[in-house]
Amino acid sequence: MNLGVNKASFAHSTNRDKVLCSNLVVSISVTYFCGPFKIIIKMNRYETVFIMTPVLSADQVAETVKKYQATIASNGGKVLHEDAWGLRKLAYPIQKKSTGFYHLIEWEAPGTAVQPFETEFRRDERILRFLTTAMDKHHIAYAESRRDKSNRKAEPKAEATVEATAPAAAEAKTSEKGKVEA
Amino acid sequence: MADKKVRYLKSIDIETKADRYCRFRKKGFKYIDYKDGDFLLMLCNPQGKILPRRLTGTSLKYQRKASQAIKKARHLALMPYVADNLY
Repeated sequence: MNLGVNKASFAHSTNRDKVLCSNLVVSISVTYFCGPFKIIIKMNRYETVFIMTPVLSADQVAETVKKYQATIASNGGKVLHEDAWGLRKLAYPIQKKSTGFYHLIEWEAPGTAVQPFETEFRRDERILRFLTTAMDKHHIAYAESRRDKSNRKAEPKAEATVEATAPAAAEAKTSEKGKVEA
Repeated sequence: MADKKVRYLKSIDIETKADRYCRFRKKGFKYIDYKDGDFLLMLCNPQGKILPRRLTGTSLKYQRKASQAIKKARHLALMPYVADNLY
């Protein structure tokens, strides 16, 4: 095995090559001065937004989300961030439904993990829409700065309004349930 | 006939277009978020169509990114494909 060539070709690899490499899962790079072999799995960052049907109860929503977290983990990925947008109005009806539960997952995985992840969505009747985007460096920077901002906002408020928000959250949940029943 | 040509010492004061600039370039945007539907509405007309950059002044680089973002937002039902009165 000509490691030198392998390394060089990896360095000049295009996007397509990276996918090929991740199909093999293992790409080998040699540390300088004949150190031990290092096995590197190329991880990419992805962001997925999906919409669940408004028919689901809060438990069912949590269950669905948990299922997709598990799918990511089973494909060798890791969930980095999550954001539940909750019940939102759709800009146009999808499958005759005008609202949906939005959920965002930011995750990290080798490129091979994306396809099985998306087939899960296609097979699932609870999912109205989904969109997975590969994150480039600007997208990552944007997402992280946004998170920092919201954290900074939340921190001072959290101390003062923990008690105030708790009943409000409960109310929101009940109102959601009411909508579902309606 | 040449004498009769009207000549101006200064260019006439016709109403000229205001300076156009790329808002993304000016504010140092690197990434246009497809999840922010309200912001992307600024780049659309009331029918929900993407405005051309000759009207918005966006540079080509960011127009490409913006149009991609709008199309993603439409797919996720954050923005309409067709609308009557967006604003």
